[in-house]
Amino acid sequence: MKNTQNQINHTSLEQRKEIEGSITVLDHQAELGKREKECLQFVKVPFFSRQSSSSERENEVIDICI
Amino acid sequence: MTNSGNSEDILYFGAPALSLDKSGYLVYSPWRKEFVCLKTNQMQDQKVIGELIQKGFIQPFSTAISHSVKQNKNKHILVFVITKRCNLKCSYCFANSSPKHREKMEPKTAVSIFKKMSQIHDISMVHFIGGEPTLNFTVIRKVKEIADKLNIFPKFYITTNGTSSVYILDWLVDNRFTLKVSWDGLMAQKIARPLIGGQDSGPKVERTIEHLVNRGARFCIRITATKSNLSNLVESIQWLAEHGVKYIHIEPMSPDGRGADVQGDVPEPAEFESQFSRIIALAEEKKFWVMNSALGNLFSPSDYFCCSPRDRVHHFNPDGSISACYKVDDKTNSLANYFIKGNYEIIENRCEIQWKEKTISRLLRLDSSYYASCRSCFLRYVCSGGCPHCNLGGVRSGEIDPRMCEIRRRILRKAILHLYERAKKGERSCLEGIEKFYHEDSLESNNSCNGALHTKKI
Repeated sequence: MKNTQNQINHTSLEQRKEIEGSITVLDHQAELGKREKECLQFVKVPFFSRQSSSSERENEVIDICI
Repeated sequence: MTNSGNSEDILYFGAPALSLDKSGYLVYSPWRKEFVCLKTNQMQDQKVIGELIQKGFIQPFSTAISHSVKQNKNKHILVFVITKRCNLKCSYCFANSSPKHREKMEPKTAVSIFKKMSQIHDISMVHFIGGEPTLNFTVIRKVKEIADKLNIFPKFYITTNGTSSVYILDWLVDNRFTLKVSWDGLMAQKIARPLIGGQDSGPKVERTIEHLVNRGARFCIRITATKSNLSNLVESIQWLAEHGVKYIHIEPMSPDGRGADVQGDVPEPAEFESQFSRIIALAEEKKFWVMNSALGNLFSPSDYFCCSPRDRVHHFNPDGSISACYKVDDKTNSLANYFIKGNYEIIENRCEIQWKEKTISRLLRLDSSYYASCRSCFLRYVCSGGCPHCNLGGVRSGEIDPRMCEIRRRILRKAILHLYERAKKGERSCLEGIEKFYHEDSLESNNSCNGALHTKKI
């Protein structure tokens, strides 16, 4: 990136615009790649949906052991 | 993030994280019912942790604890131990029940108890146990009558050995009772659960099972696994599945009561796990639901293994004692000091109760933080310390029962992996049995063999 910046300083405005444009594209792609790499893939358990709310569920009691 | 000791699996902000290989973990969120795979370097990444917390996938420790122990005092379970008499003499009976026992509860006593308790609490469940509770059928009928008269509608359950008359079975079905029928398998029933004269109780119980299926009853088969019946369990369960049974509850034998005399028959953890895996595979193929107490918190994380220490279940024994645990059914039990939390007396048809507040407070402490080995275990909030009775009654009282601990760890690890494999394919799992059996108002009929709901992709 540092070398590229030096190169920009010593080039014409037109060339500079072209290079800056390509850097923006490269940065964007890198950001996308980074995000893709960091994005967490969740797997949801298919589950029957109870009608009760979460607070009601906390209140539920069962007698599994007997 | 703490290590669980022998295993590579860890407790990750309250969630079990299973080590799959050296590169990462499979993390299961019992709060969200979701999985995520994390590379080892992501486990400590603050951005990842932040995202998981924000999503509610993992819980900071303080949240996990306050969330799971949050209590609402309204809903309670009332258990009537209505007789200690039984017409079977099972080799491992925790209650030492037999025909010689005469202790039973009077109908007016049970009615008074129901009236009193329903004034204090919202009774969501009434359960009749024994002995064989159908030998004291009048009590069952009277309690149902008074509930109807008072416009109180709890769910009614009964645990029975399946030898009662068709008349009683039909009455239970017609009155929407959920039955838990004990049966140990085609070969084992004769040996482990004989009739009083030593005859095989199998044919009678198998006729009961067929009758309940034909009636479309709400019931499960409760199997006690021992070393003796373990190798034939799959064959017996196949028979149940082919006869249309939809709910099968399997528990390893515990060495309580007469079980102490045959404790060599308690199954080895590795063998139990192996057979349990075969049963799960069969359940997915034959479309039935599997239940085991270790799976009780798999979808509802908690600090408590069961509702016994939480003062939410009250077992009224024939001798006037009130117990927190079904295994402590009179004042002479060796663990009575821990579990008898009150006494009752019927005075002029009124039930007077004396609670033992110190005992109740002591029981409340028996959550997963009570046991040193549970505090950092990867299964802390889904295993939740295991059965308090087993822990207090074990060789090292007050510490985790090592054999039952190993069984739960093996079963739960297997269950989480099985759930993940099914979830990846968008398929439901037979391990939802407890959720469906206890929480769904209209149970899948036991004679419904299409299993459409069971395999439905969501």
